[in-house]
Amino acid sequence: MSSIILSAANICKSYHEMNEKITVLKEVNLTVHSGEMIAIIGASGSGKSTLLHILGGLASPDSGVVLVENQNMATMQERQRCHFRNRYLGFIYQFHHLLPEFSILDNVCMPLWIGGVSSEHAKNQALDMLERVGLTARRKHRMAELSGGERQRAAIARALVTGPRCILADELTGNLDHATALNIVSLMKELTRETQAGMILVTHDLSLAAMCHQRYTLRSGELLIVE
Amino acid sequence: MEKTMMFFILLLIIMIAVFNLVSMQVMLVNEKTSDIAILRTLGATSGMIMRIFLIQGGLIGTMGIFLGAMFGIVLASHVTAVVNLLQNIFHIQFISADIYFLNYLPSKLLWSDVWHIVSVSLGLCFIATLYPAYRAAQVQPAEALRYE
Ligand SMILES: Nc1ncnc2c1ncn2[C@@H]1O[C@H](COP(=O)(O)OP(=O)(O)OP(=O)(O)O)[C@@H](O)[C@H]1O
Ligand SMILES: [Mg+2]
Repeated sequence: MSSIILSAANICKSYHEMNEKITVLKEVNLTVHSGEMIAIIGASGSGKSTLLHILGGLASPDSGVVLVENQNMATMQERQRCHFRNRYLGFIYQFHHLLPEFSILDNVCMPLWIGGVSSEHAKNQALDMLERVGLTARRKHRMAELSGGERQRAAIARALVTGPRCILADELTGNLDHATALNIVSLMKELTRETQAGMILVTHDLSLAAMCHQRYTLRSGELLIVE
Repeated sequence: MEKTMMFFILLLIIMIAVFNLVSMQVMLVNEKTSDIAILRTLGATSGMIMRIFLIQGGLIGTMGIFLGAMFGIVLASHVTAVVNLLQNIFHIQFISADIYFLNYLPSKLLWSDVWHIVSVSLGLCFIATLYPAYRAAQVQPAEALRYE
């Protein structure tokens, strides 16, 4: 049995808007093992992004505990939490790709620079990662010069370059055609196997979800396993 | 008395420039909200974000003050010649001895004035970058990443 990378227990979250209470998550439980890629499916507004933000320590739940590598980000100091996020987590989003002013190589170096890695080391690691996702030839280009699929490859490289233990991907194939999306997800799957990290993929596409080891659906605040 | 007045008028002009700097920086922060949020997801601390905008605002301000001071020093030390030249080109007499008892524009560059103005401007410029940088540091990544 592989080890547990991420575990969430009894996560509840609700928002108050104009005296109205909107319950987004009700007692959500989730476990991700190393080398496992899971999919979370759900209608728009079902709270998938909210859940990912809570798992990544970017938002705090009303109650419940999230452990990443047995550590609880909620009890950490702000600086410590940032450092932890830098080391252990990788985020990939649909739209918020790369920083447009920097080259692809610099974008991939960014999390290493933030983590205090020397620039030469960072460059070497970033180049290795870019080679892994097949973007070596594009390293000097800016984001604007890349296609949607290439941008997501670069975003994957950036998320994985620090060797994180868990990757949180929010609809990373949302605006790609089906063939490119399949391609990206199989790359993610290979990388999950190679790095033995945990991977959480939020998607609307059932055929992409089918490529994952485990599927969950988020419906009226409850996370249910799809058999 | 006149000098104090002049100093206040100059201060007002500098204040306008400073407000420009503040609004420009606030606009920049708003424009970069999602980039700030992305940096936060990569593990940047709010202190790092604050520093980025402090340095950026400080650089713009310092550059402006440096260029302005250079231009001002050159102009102030040659203003008599400049006015004479303008009078010759346009064939008018700005300064006639009948009214002012002088027929040239007197000017004396006091380095103490230059230091005063530069240091006050630098101080104001630093204060001006604080608020936008603070706003940048307060960006909540989970909030910022919900939109678009
Ligand atoms: N800061 C907030 N204040 C109030 N309501 C919020 C806030 N954040 C999220 N919500 C609400 O929580 C619900 C879930 O939002 P969330 O963004 O997690 O959905 P989602 O499943 O990611 O949707 P999509 O597929 O469209 O991205 C929505 O009804 C949303 O309006
Ligand atoms: Mg979402």
